[in-house]
Amino acid sequence: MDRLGVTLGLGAGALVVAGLWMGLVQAPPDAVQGEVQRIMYLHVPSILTAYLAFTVVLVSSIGYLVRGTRGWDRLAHASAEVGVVFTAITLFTGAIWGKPTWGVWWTWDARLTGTAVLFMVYLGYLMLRSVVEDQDRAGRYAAVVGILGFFDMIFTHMAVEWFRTLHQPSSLQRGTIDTALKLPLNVNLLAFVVLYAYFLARRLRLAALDEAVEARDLGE
Amino acid sequence: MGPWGYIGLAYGLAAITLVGYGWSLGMRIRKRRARLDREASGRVGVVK
Repeated sequence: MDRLGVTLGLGAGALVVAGLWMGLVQAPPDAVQGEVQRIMYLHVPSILTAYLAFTVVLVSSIGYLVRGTRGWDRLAHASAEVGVVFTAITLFTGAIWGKPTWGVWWTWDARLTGTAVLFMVYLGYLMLRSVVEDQDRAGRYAAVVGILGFFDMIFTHMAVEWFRTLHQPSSLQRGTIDTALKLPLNVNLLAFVVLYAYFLARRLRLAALDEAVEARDLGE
Repeated sequence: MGPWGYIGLAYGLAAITLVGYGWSLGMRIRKRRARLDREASGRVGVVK
């Protein structure tokens, strides 16, 4: 592994351990929800990291459509894959949190449905890339999906403001979260962002090796 | 299930997902490297 990968991996590991300790031990239980609210330290950082990943997909997809260079396409592809992993974590931690607080694992409210659609859109993005053989064409089609998916992300995020939803609005955005809960949340968010950077660096390394294999196959 | 049961389930599944994805990335990188190394050493053999 290169030096950047090692640094990011060690940094992510240390921050995850710190985040776990702060979220599971140091932070007080929520006044209303009690201990189960600790799932927030996974659920919120994972969706915010997925938002970051899909914003990188948007920027690099536009970059690819404008410039046509493979580097932008590789970055979009790598970030979409990592974003799907974090969205999956958001979905199942949300369901696990929903059962003790709402009494149901799942409900078709605008935020939950939007997040499920977001997951499907970027899963479709990855599937599209694997079914179209021509890499340039796959990159262009995927870039369009990557740009459209970003609008679903905005819709999903704003759904709690635009519709009457069971899912609560963002406490972070409204500034209604207590400092005792905000600090562990921020540490966990930082841990997830560094983990995202680590996964992205590793996924880009894989993409570079894939291209080397492809170039060798074409050369023979 | 009590609150810590739900917390354990959420954190356990998240750990499995993240470690599993990291492991899968590592395995895919290792496979590509092994293939490139194998082909490179094969070429050296041809030149000899």
